[in-house]
Amino acid sequence: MHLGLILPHYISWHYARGLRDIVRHIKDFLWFFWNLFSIGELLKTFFAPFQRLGQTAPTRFDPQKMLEAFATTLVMRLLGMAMRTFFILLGLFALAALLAGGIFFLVVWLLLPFIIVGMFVTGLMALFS
Amino acid sequence: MTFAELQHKADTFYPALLLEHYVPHKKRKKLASILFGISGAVLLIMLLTPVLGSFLNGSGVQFLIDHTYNIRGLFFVVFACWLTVYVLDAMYYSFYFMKDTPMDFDVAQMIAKTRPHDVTAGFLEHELGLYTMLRLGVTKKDIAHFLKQREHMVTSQEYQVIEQDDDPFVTLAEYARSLIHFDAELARFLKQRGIDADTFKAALDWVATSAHKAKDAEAWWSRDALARVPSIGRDWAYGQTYYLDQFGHALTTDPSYQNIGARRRVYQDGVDTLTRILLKSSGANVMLVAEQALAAMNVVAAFGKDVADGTIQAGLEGKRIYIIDGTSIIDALKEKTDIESKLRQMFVQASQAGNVLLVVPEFATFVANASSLEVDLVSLFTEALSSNRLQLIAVANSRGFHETIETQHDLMRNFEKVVLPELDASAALSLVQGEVHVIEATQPLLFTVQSLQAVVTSAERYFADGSVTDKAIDLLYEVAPAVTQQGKVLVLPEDVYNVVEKRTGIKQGDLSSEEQEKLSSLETTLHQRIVGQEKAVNAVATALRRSRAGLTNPKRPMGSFLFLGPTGVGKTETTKALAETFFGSEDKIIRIDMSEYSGSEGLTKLIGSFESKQPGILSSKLRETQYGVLLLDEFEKAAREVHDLFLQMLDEGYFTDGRGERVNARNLIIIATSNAGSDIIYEATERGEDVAEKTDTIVDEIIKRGMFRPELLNRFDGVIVFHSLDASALRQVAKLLLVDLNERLTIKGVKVLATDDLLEYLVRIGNDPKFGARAMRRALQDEVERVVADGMIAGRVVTGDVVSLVEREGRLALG
Repeated sequence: MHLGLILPHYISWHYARGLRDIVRHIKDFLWFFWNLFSIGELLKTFFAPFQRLGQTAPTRFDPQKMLEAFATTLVMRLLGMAMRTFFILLGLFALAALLAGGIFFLVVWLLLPFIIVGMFVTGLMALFS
Repeated sequence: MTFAELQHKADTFYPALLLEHYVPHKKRKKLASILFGISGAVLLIMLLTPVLGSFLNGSGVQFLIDHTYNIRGLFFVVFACWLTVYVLDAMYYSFYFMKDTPMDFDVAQMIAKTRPHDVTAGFLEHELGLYTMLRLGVTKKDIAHFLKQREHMVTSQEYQVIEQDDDPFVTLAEYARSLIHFDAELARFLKQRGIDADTFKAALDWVATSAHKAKDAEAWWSRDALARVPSIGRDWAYGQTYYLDQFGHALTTDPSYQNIGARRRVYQDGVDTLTRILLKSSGANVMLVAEQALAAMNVVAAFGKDVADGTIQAGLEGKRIYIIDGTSIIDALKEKTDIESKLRQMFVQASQAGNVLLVVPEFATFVANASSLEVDLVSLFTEALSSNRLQLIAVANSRGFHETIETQHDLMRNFEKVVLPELDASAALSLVQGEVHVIEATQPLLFTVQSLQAVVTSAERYFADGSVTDKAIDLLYEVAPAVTQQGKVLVLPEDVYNVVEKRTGIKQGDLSSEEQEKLSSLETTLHQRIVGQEKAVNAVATALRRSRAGLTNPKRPMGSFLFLGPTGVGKTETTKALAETFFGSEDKIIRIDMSEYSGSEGLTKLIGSFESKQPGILSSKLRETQYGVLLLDEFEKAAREVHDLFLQMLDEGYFTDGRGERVNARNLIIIATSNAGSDIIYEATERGEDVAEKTDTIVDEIIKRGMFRPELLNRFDGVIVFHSLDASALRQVAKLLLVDLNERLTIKGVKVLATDDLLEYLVRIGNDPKFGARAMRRALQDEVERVVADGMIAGRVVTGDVVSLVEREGRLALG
């Protein structure tokens, strides 16, 4: 084993397996944010009344009570939709930010070996100038 | 697989191994922290210099201002170094967590570090090898000494992995166990320390798993770790649960959930089954049946953890699990209509909420209790479940399920039944290993594998209530402070045995020399109290030595014997001697006269009844005293149902009482005595035959007479025949009884001489084949004690007298 051998191995890892790992981790984080903000569940229950509150329609025909029940449930549905929209948007914004961050990180990753060497060389030159 | 092939496979990890060789992970972590700290400090200086310069007009920071460019250079250099270490570490983790590898990274590292001329040292000097040995109670010093004094080193040419299964994956256990095969000196070294192949494997598996888990904990970015972060916003998707909060509680607040900890792993099979069924449809319900309802609740708790961690399958994500508190509903509402309407409201709310999963613990008890208020829970649940909008897990113990639920076919149509098997010792061991890490993280202790094996076997054997896993964990938490108090670090099996002995009075582990002596001379000790009966005493002593040596089945009583023979031949005396020798006192005898349980109500009297709520005599006594000798006098007189009860007790070491609770009998020596076949024994003794050799004939005759069934007799560890006492035995009994009398007379300062004349007289008077030594005891009372008492009252026997008794006109008199 020789330490010098690490460099070619590292470079081949960085642009092959390392790159695949980064993409996988970005996907994992996207999945995590999707779940953190419960976006799937909020979409599935988008039209449900807020906290499932509402009035049950009467079993007998009673137009006034039916209208009351309809109105109450409608208000709760609209309230639920508004709250969920807010949260879904918040989650989507976080996902978009993460995606942008992920793409940026991916680009940085591709350039990272050059960045490190560049920083090191410029740093040394500046240090001893 | 040869060593060269292993090396080739280990090369899968080559870049990371190379890195580990020069800068190990721990050093890299330290280096990364230092570099990060320095670059942070330099960056701070860079940022603060212009600000301070303008404030102080350059004075004091002039040097820094002059060297701004150099400082920037320093920052870049240090930061580049930090980045280098960081990305190298990323590469290390990438290889460490790589999937579909031929072996674990740690094993590959061990192989890479091994010198070709000494494979054993490669294992023993590696971090994992050292740790494995420490878990086996072998210190670094012992290892160094062993490596130094070896005569032969196993080379990589001689070594190869003996694969234990078809899986080409090489485990640490396979690698190291193959070493024992090729290195006889290492095998001997381990054997000398009492480490067998199974214990060695248990230690290797444990260490490998722990190492992997420690690395998993570092990987905060992994999908598993991310899944454990709870979601936000879920409450807005689902409904409220007002009624459920009133008469129920979330599983997350239940003790079963809070205490589950590492134990959840051992319930994985149950969790998988539960998940599979619940995923079938939104109306799928499960009836969880276990020997003990608590174990089933542990499965629910483990399932709840998976749901909370987000590691459950998609269809069950976000479920809110509520436990219905049946007792509090009945206690608080009392009225039939209130209970029914409240339960209906709870069901409606649960189905409306959209993500609620209901759990009813002790379902059978709830149904039974409610029926006493005429509430028909079966119909209520059947109605609610048939709507398919509710999802429910009902939990019941086996007995309750069979008695109350199983026959309710309409209700059961809504459930899929899952019978949970009882967890075995290996599951308990893996669980205890997980729990040990929690203890070791807070206390300066290191448990050996052998100590954990002792914890599990002792928990299984000596503690009755609860599952083996729960008992093992309880015992573990008792052992830890006991060892800490002694100022020790390494926990050995002896430490576990000491705690068990303090609780039960039963000795375990290696025999002390005093105990060894006691056990080897058990026959002599027993013979100090029992006259004759050579073969009976030998049989009992042998069985007891087997038990103490740990050779008996831990799932059965410690010993069980049927003593056959006429009255007064030493059956009860042997029992007393056993209690004294084995448990330290005759008080440890639990005596039950079985002739009182000959009627049809006999069984109910013994085990109690569910209907009358009366506890049983046997179950109560065994709950009070779990460790001792259970003496069942006149066993043949008990009813057939009672014999059936003992059939189970002798076979499985426990029975279920009238209330459906288990009663443990595994820490008992059970002795049943019987006069059955006394006539045959007497006749055989009269003919001068050896009754021990006629045991089979006697047993056959007893079976023929219908006194015992063969299957019951076969369950005993031994059927031991006590022969009638002959003249010489009676003479010895008389001698022993006189010694006993003289002890009682010491207070009065009087002694009776055991002359040949007196002994002969007593043998003549006290010889009644039907009553054996009892007749002799009566003769002593009627004759000897009478004469001495009369003499003392008349003033003819005074303090300091040595009395000699003689026969006069057919009766005893003072000499």
